[in-house]
Amino acid sequence: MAATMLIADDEPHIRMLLEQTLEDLEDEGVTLFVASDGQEALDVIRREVPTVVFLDVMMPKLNGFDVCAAVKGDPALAGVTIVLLTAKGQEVDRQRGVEVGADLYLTKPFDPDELHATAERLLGLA
Amino acid sequence: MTTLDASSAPATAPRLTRLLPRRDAAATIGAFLPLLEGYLVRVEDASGTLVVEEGAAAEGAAGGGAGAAWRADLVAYGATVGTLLVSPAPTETRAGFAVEALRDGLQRMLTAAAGRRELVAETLERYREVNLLYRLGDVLGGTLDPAALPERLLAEALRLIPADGAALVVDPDGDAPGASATAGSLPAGRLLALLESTRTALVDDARPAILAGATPRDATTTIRVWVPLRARERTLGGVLLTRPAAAAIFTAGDEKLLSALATQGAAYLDNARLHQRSLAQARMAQELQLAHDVQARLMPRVMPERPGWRVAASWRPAREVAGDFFDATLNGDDVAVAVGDVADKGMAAALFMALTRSVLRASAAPGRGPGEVVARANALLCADATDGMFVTLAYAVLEPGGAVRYANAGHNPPLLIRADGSVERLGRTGILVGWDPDVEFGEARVELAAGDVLVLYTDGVTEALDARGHEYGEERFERTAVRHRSDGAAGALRALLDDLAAFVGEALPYDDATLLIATYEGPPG
Repeated sequence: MAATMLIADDEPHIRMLLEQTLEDLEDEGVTLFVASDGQEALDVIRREVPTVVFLDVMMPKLNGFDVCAAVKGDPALAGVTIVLLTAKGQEVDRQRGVEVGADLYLTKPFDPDELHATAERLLGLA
Repeated sequence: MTTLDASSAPATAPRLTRLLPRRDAAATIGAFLPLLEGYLVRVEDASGTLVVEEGAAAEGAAGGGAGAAWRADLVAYGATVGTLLVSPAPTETRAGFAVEALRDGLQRMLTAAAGRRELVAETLERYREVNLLYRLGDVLGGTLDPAALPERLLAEALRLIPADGAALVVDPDGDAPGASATAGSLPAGRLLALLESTRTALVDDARPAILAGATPRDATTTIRVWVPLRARERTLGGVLLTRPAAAAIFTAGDEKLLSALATQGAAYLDNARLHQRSLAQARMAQELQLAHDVQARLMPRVMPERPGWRVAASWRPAREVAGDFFDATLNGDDVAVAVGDVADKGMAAALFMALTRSVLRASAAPGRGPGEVVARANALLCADATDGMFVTLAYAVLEPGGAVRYANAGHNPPLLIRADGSVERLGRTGILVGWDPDVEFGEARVELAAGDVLVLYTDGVTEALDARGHEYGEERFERTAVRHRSDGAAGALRALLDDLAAFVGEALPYDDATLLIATYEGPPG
């Protein structure tokens, strides 16, 4: 099955940074989706069941923790890996992320190379 | 192909759909369709793959054949990234204007998208740098050990910039340069030559050969990048990365990255060194303070008491430790007092002072005269091979009836101040102690009456200097002692110390100052 990936962030410029960092994975057959709020992210996840979700914490409608909790509480979405994007220095976010079952964390501003390597690894491309 | 700065834009243009999403292209074309009725409008990417197709060719038109279509290149990053095709080729003016306007619109969208991508690429580069700084902070800031930093710094350099050989050279004092950390294989004989360079060097040994049109590389050439480690305007060393001749050359981007790393690394190295130095100084200060405390405890805090005699003393090291000492002990019915001055300063003098004080105590015994006590101490000190160290001593035995027997081994003559204010000096009875094991030490005797005062001191008192470099002097010392001869031992001591302090003012002492005063109040009963 072709791998799919979702980028969920309400800030357009962050979405552009994430998309441009990860766009070459499309050449490997990965389909890339984007969402600009938590509700849209959850809708895409339920519809597409992406392999990997890069999920911002602070988003309108549903925040990243709520989205993560909904995904991790749904057996149909058991294969979805969630990478929470938290602000550097916000360790409290990380603790909350543990509670809602996030698989990984990356801090913003993210290291593009680390982000890319993480995506490749989680998608089984590395 | 146009060459672009790798830090701000890709070396090759991205594919069309990354610049012009299908739906945006379709919407733009859709806006022109009313003006292009009967035409098929297509956009293909650089490989000829259809990206979007809108409209429909009129019945009987020539279709999508190459000869029949109007074509325009869509350009970004100086390269053709796609093609706009309209078929059949418009012949009427209105449709001709429309396709030109459509082409311009799509091209503007592409140009704007390329500009955005460059900004994004620039931002991502800043993200890389910020993360590099964070990471360096974590990796290098985790230790203040200057010996551990080169390995960490080099590992970080290799993580960022793959290389075949690597060395980090730290040359703290310039006298023994050598690699502090190495990895992989390194060309011999390079490090010292490179150390002489304080500027970044990006060197490709093969470059002259390439310029001369010769074979680009052979087995003997290497490519390397050298970046100095500089902090506070000083070159601490540098980082060298090498690759074999056949490998890819280092880029200006590599050099920039390595320079950023070296700048941070040098600051951490410098800080670590300063920290080590400061630790060593703190350790030394603590040890000196401990030595001071131990030394201070060698001197009696409570003076021995015998009827008729009162003794008071003061010991003030010029630094943490001193070569001066005083002592006051009971010796049968007598009180034995001593003031000594080791002819040196610093820790060695302090240790010798401690040894002298102990040896002197061990040499004393009831009924043993001062000359014999000093002679025994001298023999013991000389036997311990004190390696050129010696001490001057004034040693006196105060007897209950007012008699004072003393030995003066090369020391400042103690003052005997009579109750009437006249002054006698208790001259030398021998040379200094620790010099010659066979020398003889004599002794002398004086009789004190009630109100007489005996003053033992070291030259740090009389030779103390004020801020202008003037000496306190024996005359002022004696005058002050005489003036306060009736104040009792403690009172006279306080008066002399106050006068000395008033004279010296804020000037830092350069020698230890020790003072011992014994007053005789008359026979007991």
